[in-house]
Amino acid sequence: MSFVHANYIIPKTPFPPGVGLKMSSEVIKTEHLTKIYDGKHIAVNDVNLTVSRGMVYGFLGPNGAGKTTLIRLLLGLITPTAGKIRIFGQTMTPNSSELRKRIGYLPTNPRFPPEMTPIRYLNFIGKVLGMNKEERTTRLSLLIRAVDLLPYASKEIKGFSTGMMTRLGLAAILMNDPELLILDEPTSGLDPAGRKSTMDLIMELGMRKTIFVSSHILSDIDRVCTHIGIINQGKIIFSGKVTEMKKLIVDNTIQLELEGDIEGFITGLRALPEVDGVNRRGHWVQISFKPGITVLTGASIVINAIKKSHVELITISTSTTRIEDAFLKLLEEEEADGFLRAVKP
Amino acid sequence: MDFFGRLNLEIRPTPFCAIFEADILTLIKSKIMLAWVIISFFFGCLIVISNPLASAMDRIQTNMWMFIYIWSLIIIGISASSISSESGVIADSLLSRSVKRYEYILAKVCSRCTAVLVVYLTVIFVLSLIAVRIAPVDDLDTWGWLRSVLMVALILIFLTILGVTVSTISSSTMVSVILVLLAWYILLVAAPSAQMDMLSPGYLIDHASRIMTGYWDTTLWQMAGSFSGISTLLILIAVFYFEGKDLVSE
Repeated sequence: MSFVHANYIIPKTPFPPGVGLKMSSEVIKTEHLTKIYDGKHIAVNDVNLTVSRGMVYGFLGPNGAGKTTLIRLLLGLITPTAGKIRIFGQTMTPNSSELRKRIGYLPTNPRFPPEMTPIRYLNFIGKVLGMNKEERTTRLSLLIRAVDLLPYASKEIKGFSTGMMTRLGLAAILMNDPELLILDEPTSGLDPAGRKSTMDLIMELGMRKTIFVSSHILSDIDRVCTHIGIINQGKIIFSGKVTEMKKLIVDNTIQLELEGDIEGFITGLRALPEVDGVNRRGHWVQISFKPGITVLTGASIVINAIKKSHVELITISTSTTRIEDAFLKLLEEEEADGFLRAVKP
Repeated sequence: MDFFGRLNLEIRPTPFCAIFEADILTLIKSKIMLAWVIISFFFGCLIVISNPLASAMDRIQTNMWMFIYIWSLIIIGISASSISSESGVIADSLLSRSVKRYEYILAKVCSRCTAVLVVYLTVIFVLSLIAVRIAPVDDLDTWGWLRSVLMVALILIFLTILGVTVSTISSSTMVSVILVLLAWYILLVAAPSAQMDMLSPGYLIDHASRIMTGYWDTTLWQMAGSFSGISTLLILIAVFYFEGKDLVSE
């Protein structure tokens, strides 16, 4: 069940064809952005980041890497120790209220005034955004229904679950339909249905907005993002397209999930000259091919072998779909660089 | 409740008005505020009716004493928790939106001062009416009464602004309350001891009855100027400090 009905909040007219491909306008740009707390802890370390209009930019990193700190810097909630932040071409400061009007921010596990109800809270946000009564009423009615909070619209927020808080947060950030959405771990604490629904919404919104979403759930990022940035210990170690990142770990292995006579299948595979090795763990079989065999050729060999055997194919994946491997490889390489990290661009 | 909506005016609200309105509504619905109003009326009435020999002015003066020495505890609680108690919420839900830092601080100062003033003026006005009906009026002068009421109001505003300012600087509500309590009671004790009558709320209370007869002196002018000036300074400190404060999530 989808708790977020995108049709209620996404306008019927999408971008004209081709607009999404014109990504020349910079929405977020940071130059040598650094944040040091109390002269002791470097939370963000010389970050140069560019997010263009139309991107769905996934921001990955281990816990404590600096994701939330960077986001709060982008919003002007904390001031940088060094460097610059430009949003829509303008410098972000604590008083950049007009700039923040164009941004919708959803924090991790959002908190709201507990004595308020969703209607009162969204009405309040609408007033803060300068919307008149008619605009506020229309919009909040639409959004409360869209995020499936209608039965709870007049109940105090203090009794809400994590999922309900997230839904209310989503409604609040879309109140004035901003151009840029910044989402900090939007699926944190949600059940699988809630996660799917949230990611579906992000994908839908990504067709007409620029989205900056941080997460440590790699599959979520892989599913919805066009571009990805990885931060480790306050430093950006990769920034580019998702496909570019996956190419970093291209190797000629294929993983299968099978049912049936798996041992017979493996015996047949091992007899093939193209196959270098076969490993099995339960229903999972990993097949590595000899050098020179491309992923496409390997997949073709595997499919033919499956057709001739008594197994049923459940899932098939190549190395390029395992974003976790690419992520971990990048982290390992970055740490192995040692002193070179100081001089690498 | 939507003040502008009820008037059906095509007014676009500002963040200042929105925050002010929301905070006032929160305070109105607060149990502490309700309890304060009820208890201050109750004890105020007891004071007004209890001493048959006292003049109306003395009874009103005693109620002013209550506000300075007793109900100030509640004012400190209301003001010193205004920002520190919601620091985890405001950054994410409010200041990440189209709100300037100084708008937020000024709205909070105004809403808390308004709440304190509404309670104080209502209680004092009603109790004064009761007092003049049942007690000897003597030389009570209306303008004198108004001056004394407004002077006490000024001091309560100062206390409220002090609480909001400390709440801006400290992230802990408990620390804010303790600091303001210490500052307030040190002022109550130290100012008279140091012969600084212009900073002594006690001096004002001691002379309140005389002020109600039309008395006024240079010290009272200095007091009005001092508390007004210090209040303004505290607001500026709060605004400038909050401008540069990092709002970290909790």
